[in-house]
Amino acid sequence: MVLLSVRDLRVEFATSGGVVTAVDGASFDVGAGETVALLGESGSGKSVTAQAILGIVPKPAGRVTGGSISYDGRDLLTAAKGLRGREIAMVFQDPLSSLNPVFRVGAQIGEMFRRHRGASRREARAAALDLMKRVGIPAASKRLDDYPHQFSGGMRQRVMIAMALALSPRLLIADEPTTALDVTVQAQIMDLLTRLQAEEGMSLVLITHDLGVVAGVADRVILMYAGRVVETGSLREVYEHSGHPYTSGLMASVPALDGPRDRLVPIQGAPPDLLALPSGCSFRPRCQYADEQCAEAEPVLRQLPDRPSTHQAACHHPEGVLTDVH
Amino acid sequence: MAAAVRRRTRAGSARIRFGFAVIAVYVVAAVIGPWLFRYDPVGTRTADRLKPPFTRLSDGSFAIFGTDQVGQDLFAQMLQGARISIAVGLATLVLAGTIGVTIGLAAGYFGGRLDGVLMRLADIQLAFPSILLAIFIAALLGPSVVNVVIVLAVANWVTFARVARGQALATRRREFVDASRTLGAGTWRLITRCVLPACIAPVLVVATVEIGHVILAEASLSFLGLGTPASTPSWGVTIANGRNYLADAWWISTIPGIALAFLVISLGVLGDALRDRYDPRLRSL
Repeated sequence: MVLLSVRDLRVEFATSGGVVTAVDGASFDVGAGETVALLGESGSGKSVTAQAILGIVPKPAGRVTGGSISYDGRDLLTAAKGLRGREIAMVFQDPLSSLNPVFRVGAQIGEMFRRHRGASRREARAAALDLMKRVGIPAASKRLDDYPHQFSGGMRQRVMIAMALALSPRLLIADEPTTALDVTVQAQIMDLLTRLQAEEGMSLVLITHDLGVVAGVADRVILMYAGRVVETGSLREVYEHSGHPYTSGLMASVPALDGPRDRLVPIQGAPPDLLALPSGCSFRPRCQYADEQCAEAEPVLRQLPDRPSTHQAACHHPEGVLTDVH
Repeated sequence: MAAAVRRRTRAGSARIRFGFAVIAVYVVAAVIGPWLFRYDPVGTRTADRLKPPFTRLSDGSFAIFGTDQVGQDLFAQMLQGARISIAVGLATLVLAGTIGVTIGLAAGYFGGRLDGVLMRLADIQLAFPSILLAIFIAALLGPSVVNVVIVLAVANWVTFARVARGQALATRRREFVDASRTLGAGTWRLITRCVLPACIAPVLVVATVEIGHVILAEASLSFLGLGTPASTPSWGVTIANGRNYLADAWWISTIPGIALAFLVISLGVLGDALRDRYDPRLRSL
């Protein structure tokens, strides 16, 4: 069952240099209980997509100019406000700056219950304590009255997750939830997220640029480049049979623990300038397979040859990518 | 060297303690003074007119600051005046602070056209001389303590509005505001729970600096006859009364003047020290 459906989403930002199309016709679905990874480098539009889903695109610079987002049959572009917190929640990248510095964490978590469920002060406090235990904060009853700055990064992220989970949302969007954390803590937070996701049966959209974070967790991967979805498919399909040169480039640039210690192969060129995207395929200037067709027509997502229908890439020459790499 | 742990003194500790101590003395004097030393605004004792400080009066009492032109004890009069000056100062701050912070938050948080309109209003307010405004309001409403508060609040809200607006602008785009929003907080809650708390420290600092100005302004208005009526002898009234007797009774104007100056300076010192401690970025303002 599809819980979240994004169709031809288009988000534009007015900048001093002109209008930037941060998300350009992105479409994807997230099923109930599914974990989907939204992958891409900085500026690929993955965070803006999340902002659009929650209806918090920074105004007045940013604007959703096209497409639709529906959640469980409701149009999120108009109704996001009432669903935030209850149905859809979000965890942010930097857990220090995403907690209110002037309130105790127990009060911040408890406020979710007080505001949305009309809980009394005491009930909210008890509920906050339960949540803090659930997300694995040691000595939770003592830490209830601490301020965010008294917590370590990992613990802050746990607090943030506790707040997001307070009302048992059906969709959790985690925007780079581990990027600001130490590697060991990253693993803990990812474990926590997957455990809670399984317990709650909620859908999880994991936004990240880190292929390693996604590897053990996601059911499905959506790759974005320059505001467009360039490849989508199950984790295994995409990792083992990349159908887009950008994806295969990303895979080649990750060091393997057990592989030969050769030099890593970086993707040639620089990330695209969103103000001056090339015609046709945005990845064209960095692509070894590019030809005239790539300059003329913008590739659309289509099923890859000899691959399952769920595995799609937006490339004119997927055959070359598939055979070259594997 | 027996390296004892060197305690790092925080910025301006001595100044803050000094400021608070002086202000505490004034506040205590203003609160309990008038009970200990009765002041009757309409009483006259011609036998004790214009007695210099440290004089024993005809009824045996001791006038430490001397008496004024109608034989009133200057010390009792100043205690009464302290009460009025401080009350007017606080009331003005509360009123100006409430108006200013509300307008500043609205302007900073919502931005756009509202921000433009409100801040132009503030500019006009700043460009308009407050004495002129005071004359206008006093002429319209007649001189009274409440009207003085209104005049001074109208003249002082802009500072609060600017500070609150700056904080709102800075806080509005912080990530925890977005985080609260994604967790379902509405506009009102975002303003009161996220933006307003961030304003409190700088607003308190501004208030400390401003209260000195306000007390001084109240005295100025009263001196000009636009402030509190003669029956409520604020320091400005007393100073004005003594003006005609400067040649032979210097103390009537001078002593309240010194008291006023000392209080305003202490408030200024305290305000600056608090600013240094709590908001180094404001120092350049």
